[in-house]
Amino acid sequence: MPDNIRSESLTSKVEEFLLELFDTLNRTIPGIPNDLFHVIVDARGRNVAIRQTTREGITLCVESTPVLYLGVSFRCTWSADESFLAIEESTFELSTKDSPEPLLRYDYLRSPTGHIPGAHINVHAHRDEMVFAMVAAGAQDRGALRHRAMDSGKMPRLANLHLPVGGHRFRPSLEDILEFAIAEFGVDCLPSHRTALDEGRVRYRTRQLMAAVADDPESAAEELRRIGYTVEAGNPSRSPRTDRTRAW
Amino acid sequence: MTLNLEYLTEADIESRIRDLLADAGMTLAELRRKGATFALDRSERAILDEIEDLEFLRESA
Repeated sequence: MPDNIRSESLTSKVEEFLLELFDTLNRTIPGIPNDLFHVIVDARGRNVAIRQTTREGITLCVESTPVLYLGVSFRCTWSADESFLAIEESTFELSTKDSPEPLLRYDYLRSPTGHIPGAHINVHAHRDEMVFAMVAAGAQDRGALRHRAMDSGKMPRLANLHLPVGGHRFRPSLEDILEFAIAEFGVDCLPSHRTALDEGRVRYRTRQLMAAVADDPESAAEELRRIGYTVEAGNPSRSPRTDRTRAW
Repeated sequence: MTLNLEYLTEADIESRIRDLLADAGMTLAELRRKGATFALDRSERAILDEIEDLEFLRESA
């Protein structure tokens, strides 16, 4: 494919992706700027990084006073058949005005390393009993890293734990994090937020469901037959993607 | 919504990383070391994030 057509196609896919994100945020949070996201792409049109334009993140107010910041970023690759953007990494992060350390961080890593779950939350808080449990784990598995850190004087922290949240397909969406901020922290929202969050969540979950079906078509077909659909396997039928269905 | 999208060559990427490190006044190793212990201020942290975005692009270049 000529480079200019390839670039147009990638640009339009990025625009489509950002329009959905922007629509959800703009109908949920007051004062979202039009130039919310900055996108950089390598010259070959393969890797894409998306980040909000303001370094502190998206301002979340309570009764018009800034209280929290939401950081949103994605690193994507253009699929080999040039039909979709694959999310390699995403981060949704809530922080306060006065501390650079986040309160909570939702990460997704398509190819995680170091025995951590691909989709996880880090909670940046402290509890003595948790530290005790982390030390008591000894030097097994990730405990070995903590032991090395302790040898150089660093105590384990709750934030070092990666709490698993649904693997590749069933992880939370941006809409979930926005609704959490509204429900728990009383963040100001627009009257259109209910529809925006519902529509965005349906869109996200439909897409994830389709990907999950492609991961395990036989299980999907079996359930469809059970509820009355007629489904026939292609020839040859697709094997389950166990790298996806088994991953934590 | 304004689409703010830039295509960057390998030279652009290297130049931006150099500029960001100059802004931070630290080496990349120092930024990473402080980043790992949340010892960066918000602006320094944003610089590290931007550098890591550029490194992600460089993987394809």
